[in-house]
Amino acid sequence: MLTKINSVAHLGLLSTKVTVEVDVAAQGFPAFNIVGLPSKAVEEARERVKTAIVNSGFTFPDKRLTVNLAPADFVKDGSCYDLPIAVGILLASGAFVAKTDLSNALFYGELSLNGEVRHSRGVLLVAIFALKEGFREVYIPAESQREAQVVSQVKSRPVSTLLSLVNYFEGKARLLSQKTALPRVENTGGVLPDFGEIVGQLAAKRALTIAASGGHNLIMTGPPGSGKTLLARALPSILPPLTIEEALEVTQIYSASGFLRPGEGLVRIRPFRAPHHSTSLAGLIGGGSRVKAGEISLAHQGVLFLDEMAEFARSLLEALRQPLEDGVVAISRAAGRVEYPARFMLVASVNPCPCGYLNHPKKSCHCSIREIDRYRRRLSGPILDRIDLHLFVPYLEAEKLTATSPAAESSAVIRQRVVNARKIQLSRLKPYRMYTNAQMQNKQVRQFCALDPESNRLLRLAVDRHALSPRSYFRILKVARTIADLEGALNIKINHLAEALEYRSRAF
Amino acid sequence: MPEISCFEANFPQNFLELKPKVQTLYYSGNARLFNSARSLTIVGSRKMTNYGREVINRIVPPLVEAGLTLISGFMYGVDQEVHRVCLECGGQTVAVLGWGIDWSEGAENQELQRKLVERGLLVSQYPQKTAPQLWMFPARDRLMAALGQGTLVIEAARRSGSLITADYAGKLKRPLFAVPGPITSVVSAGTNELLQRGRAVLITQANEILTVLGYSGGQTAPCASPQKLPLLLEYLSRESLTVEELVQKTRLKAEEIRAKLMVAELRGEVSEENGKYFLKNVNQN
Repeated sequence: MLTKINSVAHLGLLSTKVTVEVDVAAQGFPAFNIVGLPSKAVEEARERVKTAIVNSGFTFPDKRLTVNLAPADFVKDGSCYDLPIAVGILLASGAFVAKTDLSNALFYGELSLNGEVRHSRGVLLVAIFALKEGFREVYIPAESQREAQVVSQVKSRPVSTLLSLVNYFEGKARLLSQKTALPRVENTGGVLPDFGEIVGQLAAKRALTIAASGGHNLIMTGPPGSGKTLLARALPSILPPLTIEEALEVTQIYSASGFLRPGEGLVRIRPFRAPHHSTSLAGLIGGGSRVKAGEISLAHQGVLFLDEMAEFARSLLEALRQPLEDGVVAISRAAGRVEYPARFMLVASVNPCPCGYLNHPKKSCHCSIREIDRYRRRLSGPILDRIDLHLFVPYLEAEKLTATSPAAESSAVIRQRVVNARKIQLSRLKPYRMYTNAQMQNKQVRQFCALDPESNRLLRLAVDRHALSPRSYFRILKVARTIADLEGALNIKINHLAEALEYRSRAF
Repeated sequence: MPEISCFEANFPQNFLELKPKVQTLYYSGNARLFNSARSLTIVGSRKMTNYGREVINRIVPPLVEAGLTLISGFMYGVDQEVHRVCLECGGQTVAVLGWGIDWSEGAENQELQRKLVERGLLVSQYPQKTAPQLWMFPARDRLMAALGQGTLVIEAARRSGSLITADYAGKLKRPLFAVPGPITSVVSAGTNELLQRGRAVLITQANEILTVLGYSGGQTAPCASPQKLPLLLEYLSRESLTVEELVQKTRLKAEEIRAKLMVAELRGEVSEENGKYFLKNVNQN
């Protein structure tokens, strides 16, 4: 007898339907074959499925079984075909009779040897695919149900074991979601450092506030121990929460990459990714034989923090240029062409010289001019030109910190300011489908960043004096716009512009 | 490339008394600068600190204003900063090289070299593409000391090349000046030692050099009466500070300070280097 079960294959964030055809032949030697370009993981499904069926109390048919994954012209990868294959075999061998119509359902999930269905990656994509293609229900691992529930229009059927599923089909029992059994895991990303705990560095905090408000890229230069990393790690605590649309985009990437833990649903807080400088090109940009999302896509709508940016390989930094402009990265591999969104805020930190102590108040620098020059030249002009805010973070002497510094503002207070500034930007930029000032194109800059004559004179003077490129000219205007928005000012005033000019790209 | 022998009229008169003799010079640029009426040699450390930079930015502009041709050695650090600031102020400057003029030292100095040829003078004892050897530098130091009517040392470590120039200046009986530095700084140990032994005149302002050399013919404006500086500049007149330190000291907001610094920077009152802001040539006595 032949059965057909629907399942899903993913390539990047795109899904396609895979029909799992199972045939239990009336004649022939007992065998169990999977065809239709299965990968190694799918080949191994044979052993898992066979054992799970037996351990769930069913008999595995001693007949000739053929499983076909159609369409048969691309490689199926992953363990998520276990459930559709097992259901197909049980149906085809007549172990049970389904009382519901299964042609309108998708099956997805990995089996454990004892018949339990395990948390699988990409469940959210399955639910989204079901909505788009008109499938009414999805049978997914109970542990992953919260992901599927994000798409409320599709019925998600939580499957905890193979046996419970069969009982459900026979009308003997209901499927229980694990809502009660599992603690509700909020994706909070752990405890964040609070700006209130960071003493001093008011100048740096101000710059970070501007960056967070306008979504501007930022680079911090300063000696080791000045607090660059701490400041960057505290940045997410002042970022506004994700909107629903943004959260859905982020959660898709995380679901497809298998980074959502059992019980996790929508990602609520902005991602903060801090890849080490030894990261490979595929790790940063995305790629590999399965075309996985890279760090820049995992940082989508959030922060990509490159600590010790000058230590990153030149090729890695150059590869960032295109995604920084386009907000999306296209990766072509043998397995296919995949596009991942990658609209992130780049935050980088660098030491002023290889040893880090150039112009340090207490320690002496041991680098020669040549070494410093070579070190600085690792950061190419085009990359620095794409960074809106350039900031020097000085070393603070401990005794000065405790005595004189006023109490610091907490992240919650700063965040409110950021949220307000973003609201203003959104109301202005919504017709252009943009969220932040940093995304403005030159046309919008001309429209929204008009200057009064006095400010215009200041800007002209600065352009002459510092030989600013047209690109940095527009960047300065965008930053000035954000500073004005932080203040709630309708027009850019001269003091906004003057402050923005201070963050310009320096002869680093 | 032009060369000039010791029998020609344009040959620097200051070199004629040197022994052993200088027979031929190779040069590029304005040869009239060989015999400037007013000149000063400025030398210093390659490992210039922020302090050295501030000193140069404060002392060089009034010297240029008084019409001095500034002579230095085109090494990175103090030498190049002197050339650079001098050209920026529209002054005339001579670089005495320790290698042949056509020996390219690397792309980073090409621009400065081009400007020097345009508006100043490059000189060397060595033909075309002679690569530098260690022994050429003391020889170059001798020419530098001889060419200027006085020698000023800004930041020099003990046993540094700048002190060799200072020695030659002493032998040639030219006035020697030195800027004192922090006793904690390695690159001020040499200059402080010169002062301690009484070999150099201690310099705190450009005027003092002009007086010793007899140039102060009323050309430079007499010191202005003390003016009230704006608050930020008042703090910067004492020491160079980062924005963060200014926030701590003035209790103003970071955004106000940055905006004010920007305007001061464009007015040419303040300059920034490695995150520290310092005052530029504001009369303050």
